Amino acid sequence: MWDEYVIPKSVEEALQILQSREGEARIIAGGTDLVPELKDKARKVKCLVDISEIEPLRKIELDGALIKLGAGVTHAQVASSDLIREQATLLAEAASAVGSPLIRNQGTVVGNVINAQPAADTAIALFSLCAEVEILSSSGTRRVPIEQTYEKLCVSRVNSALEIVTALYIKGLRKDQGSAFVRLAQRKALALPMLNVAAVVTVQDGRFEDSRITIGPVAPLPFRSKNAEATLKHAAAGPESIGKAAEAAALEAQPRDSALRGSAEYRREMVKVFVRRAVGRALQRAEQK
Amino acid sequence: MQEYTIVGKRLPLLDAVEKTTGRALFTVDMDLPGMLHARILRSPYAHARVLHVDARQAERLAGVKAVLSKNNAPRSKVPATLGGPKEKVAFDEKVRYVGDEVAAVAAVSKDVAEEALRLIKVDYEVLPAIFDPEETTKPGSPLIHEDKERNIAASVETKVGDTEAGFREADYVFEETFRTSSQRHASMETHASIASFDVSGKLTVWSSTQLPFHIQRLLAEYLDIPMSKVRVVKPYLGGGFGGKLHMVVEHISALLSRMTQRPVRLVSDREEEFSATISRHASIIRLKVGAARDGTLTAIEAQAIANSGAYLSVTGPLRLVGEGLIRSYRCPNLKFQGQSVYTNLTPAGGFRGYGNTQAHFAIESMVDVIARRLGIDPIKFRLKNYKKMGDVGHANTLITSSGLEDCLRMGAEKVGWGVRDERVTGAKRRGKGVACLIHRNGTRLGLPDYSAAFVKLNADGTALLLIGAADLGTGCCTTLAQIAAQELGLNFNEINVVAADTDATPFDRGAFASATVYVTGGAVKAAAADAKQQLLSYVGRRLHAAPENLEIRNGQIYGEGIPDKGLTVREVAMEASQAREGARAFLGEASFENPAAAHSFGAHFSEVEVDTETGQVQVVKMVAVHDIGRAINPMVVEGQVEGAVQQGIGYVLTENVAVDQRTGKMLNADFANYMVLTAMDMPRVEVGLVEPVDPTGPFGAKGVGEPSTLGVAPAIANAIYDAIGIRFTEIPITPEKVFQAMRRRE
Amino acid sequence: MAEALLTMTVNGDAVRLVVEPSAMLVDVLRGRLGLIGVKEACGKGACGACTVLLDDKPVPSCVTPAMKALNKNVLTIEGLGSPGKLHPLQEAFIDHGAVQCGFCTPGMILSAKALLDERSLPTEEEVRVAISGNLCRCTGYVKIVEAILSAAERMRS
Repeated sequence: MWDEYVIPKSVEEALQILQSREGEARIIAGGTDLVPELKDKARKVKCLVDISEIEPLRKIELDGALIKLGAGVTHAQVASSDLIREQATLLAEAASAVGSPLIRNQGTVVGNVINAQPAADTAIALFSLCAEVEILSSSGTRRVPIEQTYEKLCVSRVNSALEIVTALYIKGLRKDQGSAFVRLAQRKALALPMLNVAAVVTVQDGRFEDSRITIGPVAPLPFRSKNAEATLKHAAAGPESIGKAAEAAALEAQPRDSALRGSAEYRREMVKVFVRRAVGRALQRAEQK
Repeated sequence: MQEYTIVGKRLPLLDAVEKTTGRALFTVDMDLPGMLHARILRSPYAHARVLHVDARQAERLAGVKAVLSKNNAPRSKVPATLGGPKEKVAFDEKVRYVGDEVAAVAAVSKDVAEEALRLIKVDYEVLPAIFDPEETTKPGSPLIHEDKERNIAASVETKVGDTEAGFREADYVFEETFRTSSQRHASMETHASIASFDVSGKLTVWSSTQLPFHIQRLLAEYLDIPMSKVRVVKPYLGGGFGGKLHMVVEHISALLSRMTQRPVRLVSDREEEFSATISRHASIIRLKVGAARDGTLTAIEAQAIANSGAYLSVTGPLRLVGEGLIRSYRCPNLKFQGQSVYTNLTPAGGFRGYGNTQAHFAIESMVDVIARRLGIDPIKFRLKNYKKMGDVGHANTLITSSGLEDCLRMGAEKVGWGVRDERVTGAKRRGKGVACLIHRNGTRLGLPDYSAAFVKLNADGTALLLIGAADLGTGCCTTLAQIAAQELGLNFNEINVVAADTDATPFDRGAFASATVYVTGGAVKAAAADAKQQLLSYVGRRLHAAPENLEIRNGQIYGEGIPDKGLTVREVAMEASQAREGARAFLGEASFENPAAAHSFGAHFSEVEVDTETGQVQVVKMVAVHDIGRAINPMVVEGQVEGAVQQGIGYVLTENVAVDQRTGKMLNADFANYMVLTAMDMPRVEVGLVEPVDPTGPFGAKGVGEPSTLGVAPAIANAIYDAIGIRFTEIPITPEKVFQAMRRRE
Repeated sequence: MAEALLTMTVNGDAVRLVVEPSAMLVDVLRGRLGLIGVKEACGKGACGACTVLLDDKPVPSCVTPAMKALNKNVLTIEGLGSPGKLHPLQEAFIDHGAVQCGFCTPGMILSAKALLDERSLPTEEEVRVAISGNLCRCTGYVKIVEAILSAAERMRS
């Protein structure tokens, strides 16, 4: 499957290896998505550069006003991190829902983003957190909003043969914010979502000020329902406005028929139910703070 | 009920230490010197003629030792299982489902074999395919087997009395069509076989089979070798549930071994296991029942179509569908017409329940409909109408014992029957449902149903139980050892078991039809009694005592004529093995035929919670009470029932088999997408055991392997009706189906 | 053929092997070290039969490149207790009837061990989550959960 497996000790070393292999090498972190693909021969690569042993990448830490998640941070770490559970609750919820404990121990949050699937649980949550992605390449480091790393369905704009995502940055939730992550699946573990919704709401004086509602898989990419968000803006925070937002989201979303995970019609109906539930729970949590 | 010292005890499995320490060897764990690895080339088309197979490049690949295809494989039909037709030529001129075998390669490694597959060039003439079991018998449908008109693989018809008259007599006539889906066994161990010819031409096969002795016979027939030159051994076996009743890999590994004169191991990968081995028959059941106002049934008429897939495999399930539908309840006028039909899908065959599972979904749902319409409590209705002891049950067999009443009573209490959980709020609704079950132990009067056993005493008074039985996780080796020890009079730790080796152990019927304890147990009990008789006769002669006044308990001999200081079995065995005169060995033996095919009964109760916003059904509690005759090992019995609940809930709610309607390819042939329940999905399960002590079973025991599956689906469907008032006649009952049904109702 | 040097500790023993860089951990453990207690049932990391502990964390060894074990500790079922000196989890599985065919058992026990090493008295819910990636087709998980809770009690005292 591959001829070389290299385990660099620093990102600089990793980048240098990528450059020297001229496109024949690729970054691997947990490998829980990549390895099955390579085993299936759906992809081929000559050299894998494993960044999961680079210490600084394995940290979840505060970086000024932001929370930084290194590229080696696993779903298990995020699910059990006190910092994330307090300040980015929906992300911890999303991370707990991924696959199984085995997958969560290996798979990384950044890996989920790179995989560019429309319903990757943690990516959905990261969209609602307006996460930024830090990318290291030969031309230096840059930070881009998460949605800009998606090229199209299952294709990331990040070229893992030439660049390395080193971290994700999110803003922790404020006192006037609440979040929730909800999911519809055929069983409680080891199941891809039929639908997932990540909601972050800002509530001031009983009104929704700002909200971010991301839904998957209802588009080729994780889908921010701008119409739902617009419906909520300045609206009185309560079941009526939430209901309207849910309706708006259902109209805007474009789920496809899936032979395995539900018809478009059913998923569209479920968008309504789960947007309502996600926003409702996020509101509850904001009010509790 | 008489209590025993070993039978009836919750003893741990004899092989549990091996399994928990990772020392248990399964077929896939075995390596032989010089062993080759085999892989199968499978058809990508649902229906095609195989015009030409060019394996030359594959044969030339370094490391490839043999390639099998229609160019060189035997043209005779494979006798695939007991009671099954010979219908399939291995590597035929035609492929009949996506996954059908086209060629096989034996090479020095799996990777080389895989590469060789890619080098085999096949010319197919693609034919139109048919997947719908109702469409397939219509004129104009593509013919799948040239000698089977209209794609009808088998037909069964049964008639008793006059159903027309019965319907005229009825106050109410109920009609309903039920559709049950296919299901996959999803055993954790896939089909595996190692075949090895030695220099004398003797074939040894290690296989993950539930029927070592039948495989021995079938292989001998297929390869045209005498049975004395065929040995089949079943190592540890990682689950079967009926899927390993068919010869799926053994004959291919044997052919390759014969060609290469080296051991060949063939292991299905998970995708093949899901899509290209055996599956459960999907069915369409049309049921019409006539009832009088007081709940008496006047007529039952049923038509069933069983989707057999590309090959018939066995007719049994179709028959059992009929029996389950028309012979579970007392009713004078009966009619069943069933057809097994061919479609270009994964072949169907044995799967725990074997047609009775499909039938129970239909009849137990229908009975619920009738009871409600008539305003009769569903439990009372069943008590009034269900077959009882002394009635003729399934397959013209008299019912020798029934604990059904106690099962219903116990189950109703455990589930809180009659009390609805009103605590639930918002969009959730709860409901409770019940289903009865009946299953005949064994295939008596249908297929040969007998087993044999040896009980051999060692010189130190310990014993060896030699049985051909295939323990596939059912714990039967332990259970049978308990029977042997109890009967013989030894302590449990003085008996050891050797099993499932056609060279070393006597014939066993195989692990199917829920009859290992009932039939093989009978053989074991008789063989142990025989050994005991030999021992006591020896003692009697030596001590001038009458053997009929002697008994053995806990390894000691008691009775008239035994000296005060006592006498142990150990002392007797040692003396008999060392005597200068009169020395002898003690070997108990028995061949035992299924005496009466006792019926196992039970009652399943389910509490569900339906989320009316999403259609999701959560099983909150499952209560399964089983009439087991007598539980030889209650812990083992409970384990069987609990496992059946997992399979049953999957069957009725989550285990959908998705097939691409254009290509016929199974779309979810992997564990990520075929939804077996995980530990997080299981409800509370409570198991109850009722022991009426059947007069025909060993120590009164009856079977539970399949009975345990029968009530889960209908109990849940009935509970859903209780919760939201909607009757689902098609399974699996997915959230989407529930949601749409609720929508339509509004 | 490409080569890589893999040094690791397996069940307490130092191991030094030359492997193919693309070898999976399950194949090295089973094929090279004879640790056939590590089962493979799907090859895609979706069923848990291949679970081993890598630096104390349960991982799916069939989709874990062997090189990920470089200089790390691997624990397979063979390294946990032995006939005559069983780990409380093994004893509990035996005593509670939590083993039927045994194919899922090694992976199941290791996932449970990782849980109990983290959390000495888990709730039933926590047990179910911990083994949610280990599929079993025989037991319905009922006695497995009972056994793990029982082992937790035993290990505490």
